[in-house]
Amino acid sequence: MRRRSLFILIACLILTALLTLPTLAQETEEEEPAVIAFEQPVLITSIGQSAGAAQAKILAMRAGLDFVYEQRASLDDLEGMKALIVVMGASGKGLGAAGVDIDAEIEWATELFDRVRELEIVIIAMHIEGSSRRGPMSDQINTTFAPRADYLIIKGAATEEEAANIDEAANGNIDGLFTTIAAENEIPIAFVAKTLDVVVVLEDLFPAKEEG
Amino acid sequence: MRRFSNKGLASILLVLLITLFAVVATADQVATGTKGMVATAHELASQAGAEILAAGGNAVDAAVAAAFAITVVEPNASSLGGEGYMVLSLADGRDLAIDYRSWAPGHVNINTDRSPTTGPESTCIPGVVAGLCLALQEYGTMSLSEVLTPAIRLAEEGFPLDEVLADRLSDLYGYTDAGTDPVVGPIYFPDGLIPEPGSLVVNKDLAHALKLIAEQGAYAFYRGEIAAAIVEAMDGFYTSADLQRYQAVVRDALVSEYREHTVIGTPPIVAGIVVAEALNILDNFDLSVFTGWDDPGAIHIISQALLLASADRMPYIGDPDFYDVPLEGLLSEEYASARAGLIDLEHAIFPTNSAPVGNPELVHLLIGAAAAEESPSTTQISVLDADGNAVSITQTISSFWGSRDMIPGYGFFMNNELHNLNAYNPDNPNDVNVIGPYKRPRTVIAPTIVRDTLGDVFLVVGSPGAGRIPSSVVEAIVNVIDFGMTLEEAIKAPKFCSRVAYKELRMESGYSAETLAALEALGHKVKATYGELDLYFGGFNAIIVEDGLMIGVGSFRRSGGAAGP
Repeated sequence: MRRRSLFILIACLILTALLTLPTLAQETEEEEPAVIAFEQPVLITSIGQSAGAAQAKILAMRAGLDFVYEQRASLDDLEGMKALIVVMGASGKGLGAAGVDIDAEIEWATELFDRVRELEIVIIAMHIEGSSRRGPMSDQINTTFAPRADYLIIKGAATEEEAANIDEAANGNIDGLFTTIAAENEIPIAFVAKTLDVVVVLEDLFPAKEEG
Repeated sequence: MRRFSNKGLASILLVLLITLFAVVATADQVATGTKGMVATAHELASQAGAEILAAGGNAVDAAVAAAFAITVVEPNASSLGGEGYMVLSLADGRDLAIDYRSWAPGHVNINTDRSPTTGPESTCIPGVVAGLCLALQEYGTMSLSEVLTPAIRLAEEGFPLDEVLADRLSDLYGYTDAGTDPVVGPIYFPDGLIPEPGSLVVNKDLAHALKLIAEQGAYAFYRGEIAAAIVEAMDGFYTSADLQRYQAVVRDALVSEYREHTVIGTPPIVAGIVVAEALNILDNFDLSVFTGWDDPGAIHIISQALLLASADRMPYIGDPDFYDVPLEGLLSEEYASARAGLIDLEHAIFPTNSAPVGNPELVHLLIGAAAAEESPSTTQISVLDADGNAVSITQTISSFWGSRDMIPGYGFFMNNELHNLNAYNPDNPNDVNVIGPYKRPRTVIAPTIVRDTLGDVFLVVGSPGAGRIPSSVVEAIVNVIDFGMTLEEAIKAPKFCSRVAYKELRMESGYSAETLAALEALGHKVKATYGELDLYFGGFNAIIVEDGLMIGVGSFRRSGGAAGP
């Protein structure tokens, strides 16, 4: 008898839970998304020495950011910074011009990230050069540093449906790599269809300081 | 009221006809036809040539149209500020070559630093405009304004950015502050950013330059307003006299035999001689006994022949306007036989850069200084018309984007060819590639035409790819003639490169593990770290004729296209 009562009690609890959870989920969905805002000044640099960071400089100018751009930043460049934007993407030519190989680049970037964490600076990792920066060298960078970021900005499609409407070459998330990294590490992620769209994301992330 | 002459009216009608055919011509990576064929590194340049063929032009008209068009749609590899070499096999039996290689400026001497690879100090006097105008004038049937119509249209109206050019623009963006550059930026980076694939690339400045050339011919470029702009942009490295002095030259083509086929190539100072000598050496071996491109026995012999031919390049091949080149000796059967006798079938006797220089005229010259290395940033144009006229062109600005200097207002980049000349080395006083005024730098381009045993054009071939060009061209010819492969198979087959400048046998991905092991067992030091269809090994744009059918193949290692009328 006691056993039967216990069974009924458990069944009731499960039923209640099943009926209540969707409502909770709905309430969660209806919640206002948390506003993410980062502080300036910002240091912009490259991991992989592709042309992406130079583009980020133009995007930051358009977004009116207070920033410093160093294609290959040093630890000293972090002095006084409140945020770091790294643009991920390996270029054989760029690495060659910098006189480093991919291993040295990753070692340097790891050092930079470690120092950034000590200084409690936020990190925004960007991938804005599409599928051409998804080769083996680039992915070494993407998989090492994207999970350590506080925010991801990716040029590409968030879903397969969106992918149908975007040029394959422009889709840096062609295999869902960044979606997975963001989900597994609970990192907020913004997808843009065109490089220029990054300006709006940056404007939202770095609200202009109020005058006076 | 202004009256049109009959000639003027005919010209206008022809331009209208060309515009009409612009809608008709389409390009694919592999195309077939019987009325003519054009294969280039970009489908739109191939279509430009096909339009001209469709409008009644001959192979030279079409080649010149495609060569101007490629400067618009592949600006990273070809430019009005560049140079090239054209080989022609005409239906009337003449085999010719047009040398429009660049010249060092007049003020340079052995003390000039030839090491810069960017900026005005890296440039030579360009030859593209002079060479293409000369070809058209001597062997074409149409006017400049007619053949320039497609290129002007592409520059003025724009063309969709493909992934290949987007990648190259990304390189340019990374090299420089091109995004904010007041000359380059508005043309290639209109938002200050690398443009999205599919967006329209418009270069009205280049359209303006092409229109001036259409109206005034080479005068506009070497003496007119474009010349003035070049002199100003080059900041004293050139003079007006340098540009006025430049001339493209018609030369005898380099003609040799291989398995009863006639091979028509470039004379010195480029690498036709290496292709011819290597094939001459291979004529001493029966390659048909091997199973094909992946057979280590065949690779061994071909690699050794290429190595021996390349060893002769550095000491003997200089600018023919400055040096006598012992062509007769280098191309003789006796010499090839002697060189073939050095090849040991059981052992790689020259596994590194130690192949001995031969002695074609019983003179002994030391091996040259380390060869200047042209970058793989060239482009190939192959054209054949219905009458059997064939043209093979390799055009270049040396590195991608050349010197990275765009001429303001005219929308084209200058070459960076000067580093292809050698610095003076007192230990090598006989260096035939030493820097000097008005000298052509030695490079490795090798546009080639092959006629069959009946004397008909059979193959039009060539490739970019720097030091790999002679190897790749020889392997493609061997694949077709000795191994009976189709052109598509011959081009797609993995390639290797063997030359004295390399310390190893460099091999593209795709060879079997057994083959690599067998080559190593023969003593070859194999480097097989390259990808499949790796653009390091070139980018053939070629045409073959099979039973009267012309088959054009655009590069698989890049994004080429072929088109016929």
